[in-house]
Amino acid sequence: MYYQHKGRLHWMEDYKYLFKVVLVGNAGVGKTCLVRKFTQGIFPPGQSATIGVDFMIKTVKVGNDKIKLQIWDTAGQERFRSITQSYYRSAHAIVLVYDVSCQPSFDCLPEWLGEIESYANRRVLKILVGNKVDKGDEREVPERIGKDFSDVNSFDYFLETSALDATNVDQLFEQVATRLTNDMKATDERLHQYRSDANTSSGQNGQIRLLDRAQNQINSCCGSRQ
Amino acid sequence: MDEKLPEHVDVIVLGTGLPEAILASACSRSGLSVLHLDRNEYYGAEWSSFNLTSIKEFLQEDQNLPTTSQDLLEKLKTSPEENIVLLGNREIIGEKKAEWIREEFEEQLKDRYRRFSIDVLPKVLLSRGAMVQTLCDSQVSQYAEFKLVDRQLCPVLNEGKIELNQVPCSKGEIFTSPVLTMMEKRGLMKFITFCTQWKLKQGEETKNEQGKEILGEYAEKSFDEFLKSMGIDETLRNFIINTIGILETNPNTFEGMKACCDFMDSVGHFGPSPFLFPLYGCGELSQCFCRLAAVFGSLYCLGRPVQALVYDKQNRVCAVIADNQRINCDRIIMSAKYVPEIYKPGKSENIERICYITDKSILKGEKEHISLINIASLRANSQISRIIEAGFEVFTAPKGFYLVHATGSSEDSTSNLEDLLLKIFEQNEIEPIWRLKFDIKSLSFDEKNIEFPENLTISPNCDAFIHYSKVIDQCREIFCGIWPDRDFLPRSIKKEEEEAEEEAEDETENIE
Repeated sequence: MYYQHKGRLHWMEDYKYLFKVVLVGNAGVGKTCLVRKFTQGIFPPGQSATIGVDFMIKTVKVGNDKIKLQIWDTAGQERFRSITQSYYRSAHAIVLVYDVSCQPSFDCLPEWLGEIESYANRRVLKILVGNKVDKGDEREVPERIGKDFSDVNSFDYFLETSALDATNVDQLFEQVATRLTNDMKATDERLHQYRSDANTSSGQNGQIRLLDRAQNQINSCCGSRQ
Repeated sequence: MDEKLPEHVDVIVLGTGLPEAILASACSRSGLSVLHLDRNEYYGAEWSSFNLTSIKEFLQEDQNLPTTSQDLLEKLKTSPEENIVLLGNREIIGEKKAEWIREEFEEQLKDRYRRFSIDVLPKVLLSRGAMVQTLCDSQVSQYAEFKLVDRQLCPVLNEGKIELNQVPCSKGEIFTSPVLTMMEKRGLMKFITFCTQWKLKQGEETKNEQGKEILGEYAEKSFDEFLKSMGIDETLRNFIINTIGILETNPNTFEGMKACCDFMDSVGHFGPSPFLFPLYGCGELSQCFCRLAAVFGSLYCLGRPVQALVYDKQNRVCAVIADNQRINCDRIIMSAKYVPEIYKPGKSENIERICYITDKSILKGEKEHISLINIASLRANSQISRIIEAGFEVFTAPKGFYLVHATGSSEDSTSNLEDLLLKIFEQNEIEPIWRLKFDIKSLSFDEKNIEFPENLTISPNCDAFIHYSKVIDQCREIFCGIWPDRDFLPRSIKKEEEEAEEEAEDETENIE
């Protein structure tokens, strides 16, 4: 408990911004692999669907600022296209992933876009990623086609990656962090709104995150009760 | 994308309403394999929230009805001794009607339709209640955010007019409140002190008996009488019963004291008010529990036909037929909606629901508020009547607009819930823009007299209570009844990844 408590306090003070990044796209396009490669530097073996992964956190530096990326995985709910709307809520960036060696995963992109448009914040940063470029010969979606789709549908950024050989994986998330940080700095108002002070029991505009029980007890002994 | 459903799971859950979502998450959290199905394309069933576009799905008739031929179902039997039992599609929501009152807004609001989030069953969370505790323990809390219900109003009838008075919650507010006289303030403080002492003496373990003893002969008598005996005047009694206790009509003293203590216990926990409201509406909660279930491996498949059950020769459910596939299971949990027609429900209670979109708050304030009004005192024969007004503050309406939700039990025919609401509108010169009206049926099945298969469980039904403690308690009871050796949504252990991340924190990389 103490450790956790210490950990939380540590988080609160340590970084300038915390951004929520969510990944979407068909099952099996390598979303979890991208996150793991980036956050842990490993490429998980086996092809099992994602179990037990909620979100991963990694701290990066943009200029002199420490930025926390909280990267959310679909928890397998995409298998039957049953992602909860709440998954998209308060996301700062959405990374839509397809598999360059799997045409059907590209053909589903319009459906995913529809979902993003209905549930996500309109100002969300949208990024299109063609994954598995390591599968050279098996490629079914040329880079040009992906780029065109990204332009036509006004994505903020497009790139092709490989979680297997690490091509562009760091670049992807660094781009996300850099773009979000620059956006954030540009708009003072948004800066205040999303600032991670929401971690305390009442955020700047009254938003409340329920903390775990340990934290709650600490709050209530600190005399916040009236 | 068109993956097949699994051949066998431990538990199949039908319906994604809040009770089913809680149970599904408790099952998968404790390591059981779970398949969670819903005929709707959306999460939450009768516990969902809709925007002005998706409300069409709510208003239209049910989809994905089981229209499968008996032949096909028969083919899915693995032995002649098995029986196919068609699943029901009971009507839970009835008399649905939506209309534009100020028609010009239908066009004007078009670009903001998706910013509305209209709850089917709006409730609030008690800051120190069972729901908040479960959300925190299970860490489902990390999927949602909340705001304080920052204004509680108490309606008082004055010369035919309904006056809405702001209720002070904390000691600070009591002292500065202009609504109470000096005497009333003293009376209220005295009552609060009495509650604190009563709770202390009652203790944690020997709950009820000790508390009742202290109250003596009043315990089972009317709470109102008891307050009178303490010398509390009528205005204050009204405050205490309807706003602090948010009680049903004519509660007894013991119930009243308990509710008041719960309220006071929650005051000051997150802020001056004891209640919280989820951002984006109450429909978020079931989705959040579903997300936890998914994280622990529960499989989600929505918007497909869910057709029938297969009973084996011991009259146990051995499989579910959904989307023309057979999925074997050891246990099935379903909402009342899916209960096969062969079982007759007992008495059902009706919850009356009305929702208006307005462009003006029911009580103008310096800032936008999330308001809660218990109007039970105006409807003497009704068990439950309340109004919740919320809008842009909790992202359930675009800026400048409000959703006014009225919820009541509909046994009272003498004073109509909607008439009261319209009266409040009229007095405050509010012209409502849009109106939605429907009924929710709380179906219950008498499990003692109906021979349900031993491994079939019906999840708790929709209830009209103000907060979620009852749902959580019922789900816990069901779960612990079936699996006495498993923990109900225990605290999550810290994941290895997180720890590794924290250790690696100092080695952050440099971009650019």
